[in-house]
Amino acid sequence: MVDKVDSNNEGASKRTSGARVSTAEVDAWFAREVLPLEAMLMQFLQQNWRNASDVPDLRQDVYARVYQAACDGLPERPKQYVFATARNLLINRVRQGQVVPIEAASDLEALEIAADAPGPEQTAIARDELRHLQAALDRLPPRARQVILLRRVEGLSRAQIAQRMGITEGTVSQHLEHGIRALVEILGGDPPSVRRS
Amino acid sequence: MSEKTNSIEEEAARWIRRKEFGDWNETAMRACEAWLDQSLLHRVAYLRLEEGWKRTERLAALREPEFRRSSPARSPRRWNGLLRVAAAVTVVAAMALTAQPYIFGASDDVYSTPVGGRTVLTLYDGSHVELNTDTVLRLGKNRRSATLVKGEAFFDIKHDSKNPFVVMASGHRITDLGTRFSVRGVAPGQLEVALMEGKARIENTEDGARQHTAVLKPGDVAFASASGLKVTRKPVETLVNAVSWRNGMVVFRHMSLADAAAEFNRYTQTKLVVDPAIAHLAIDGTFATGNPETFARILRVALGLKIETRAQQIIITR
Repeated sequence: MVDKVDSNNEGASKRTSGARVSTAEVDAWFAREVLPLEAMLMQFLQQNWRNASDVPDLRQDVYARVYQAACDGLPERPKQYVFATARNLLINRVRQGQVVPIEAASDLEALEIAADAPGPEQTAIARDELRHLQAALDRLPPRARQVILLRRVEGLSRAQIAQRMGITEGTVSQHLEHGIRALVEILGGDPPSVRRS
Repeated sequence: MSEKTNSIEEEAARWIRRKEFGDWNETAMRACEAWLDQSLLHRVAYLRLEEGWKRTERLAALREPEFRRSSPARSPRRWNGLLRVAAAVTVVAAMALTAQPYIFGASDDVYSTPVGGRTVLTLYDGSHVELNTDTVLRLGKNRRSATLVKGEAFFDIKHDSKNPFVVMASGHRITDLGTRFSVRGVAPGQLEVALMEGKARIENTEDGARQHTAVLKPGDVAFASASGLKVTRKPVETLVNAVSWRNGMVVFRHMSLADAAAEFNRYTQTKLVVDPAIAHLAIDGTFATGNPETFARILRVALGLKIETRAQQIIITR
C-alpha cells in the first residue's frame, strides 16, 4: 500500500492544486464511469499481479489516483484512463522493487483487450441486475444475507430486524456492514473467477 | 487486503450503515465529511461501498413474488392461475386452453419450451413444474402424472400419499414420495434424476427388461438407461447449482471449458465451439444462460483466448 496517492513519475495522476471540478461532480462521475469497470479492473490486476492478496489494495490505489486526476478535469475516456492508471501503477511498483514482477509481456496485450472489450459486466448487469444481485446474495454468509433481505425487501428497521432474527441491534449492524462489504466485493468480482487449470 | 485498506473499508461500511439505519444527525454528517476529506482512499472506499449498496435497492422488486403459490380456494379463475409464464419465455400449448377447470380436464396437455426458453407450471395443489430449455412435457389429465418427452424439468411436488405424483421418462417411472427433484433426458433412452428434498422411487417400466429400482434420498443422482441404473451421492448444494437454470443461471464449479460450452449450447441457437487444445481449461463462475457472447468475452478478457464470431457459431481458440 503506498501512503501517498500522488506519484511523481506518471501521467495517470496529475497533481491537484485547487480542484476545478466540484466534489459532487467527481463523485457522480466516479460512480457512473469508474466503479462499473470494477470486474474488468479486478481481472486485469489479478492477471498481471501474482500476489492476489495485494489486488484489493492496488484497486483502491487506482481508484484514488483516478479520482484525484478527475478533480482537475474529468478524463474523456474513462475506461482507457482507468486501465492506463492501473498499468502505470503496476509498472511503478515493479520499478520500486516492491515485490513480484508483472507476468512478462502479458500486461500490454491484456490492457488492450480489457480496454477494447465492450464491457461484459455492463451488458450483463443491465440485463440481469436482479439475478446478478440474487446470485451475489447467495454467496453471502446466511445472517448477513438475511439482514440485507429484511432491510431491502421487507423494509424493516434495525430494531425490527433484531427482533425478527432474535439478535441484538449491534449484531444486526455488524452483519449489515459485513454484508455490504462482502456483497460489493462479490459484485465487483463478477463475472466471477474464470481461471486457468 | 492490507490492514490499512481493511480498516478504511470497515470505517466506510460503518458510515453507510449509520446512514441506512437512521443513526444520523448533523454531528454525524460533519464527522463523516471530515473523514472523507482526510484522504482520497477514504473517499473512494466510501463511494464504492455506497454505490454497491444502492444497487441492492433493486431487491425491492422481490416484494412481488414471481408467481403466486395458488391455493384453489382463493383463485376462482383456475385456468388463468395454472400457467404463470416467466418473462422472455414462450409456451406452446398443444391444446387450446378452455375455461373448464383443469382438474376435470378431458385430456393430457402438452407444454414445451423452445431453445433458450423456460417456464413454470403451477398446479392447483401448489405443486410446481418448471421446464428448462428445449423441453416437451405432457401433463396427465389428473394433474398427478407427467411424461417428460425431452429436455429437463424440475418438480416441486406437494405430496399426497394416496395419489402420488408420477413422472414417466425414457422408459422409467419416478414416483414422488414428497419431494423436489429434477429429471433430465441426457440422450435418447438415457435419464438423469437428481433429488434435492424428500424421497422418490425410480424404476424401469419396459416389459421384459430386467427390473431395476431405487429409492432416492437428498443428494442422490440416478443415471438410468435400458441397461441399468446407477445412483451416486453428491452434495445437495451441487445439485441445487445444477438447477440454477430455474433462475436463468448456470453455475460452473471446476468444470472443463468443453463441458461448460456444451451446457451453454443447450440454451442458444448460437453454439460455442471449443478448440480441443483448450477443452480442459477449468471454469468457475455463475453466468446468465442465453448469453454466450458475454461468456465468450469473459474468456477473452480473463483467459486471453481468441474469439471468432460466425453465423450461429462462436469459435474459441487459444
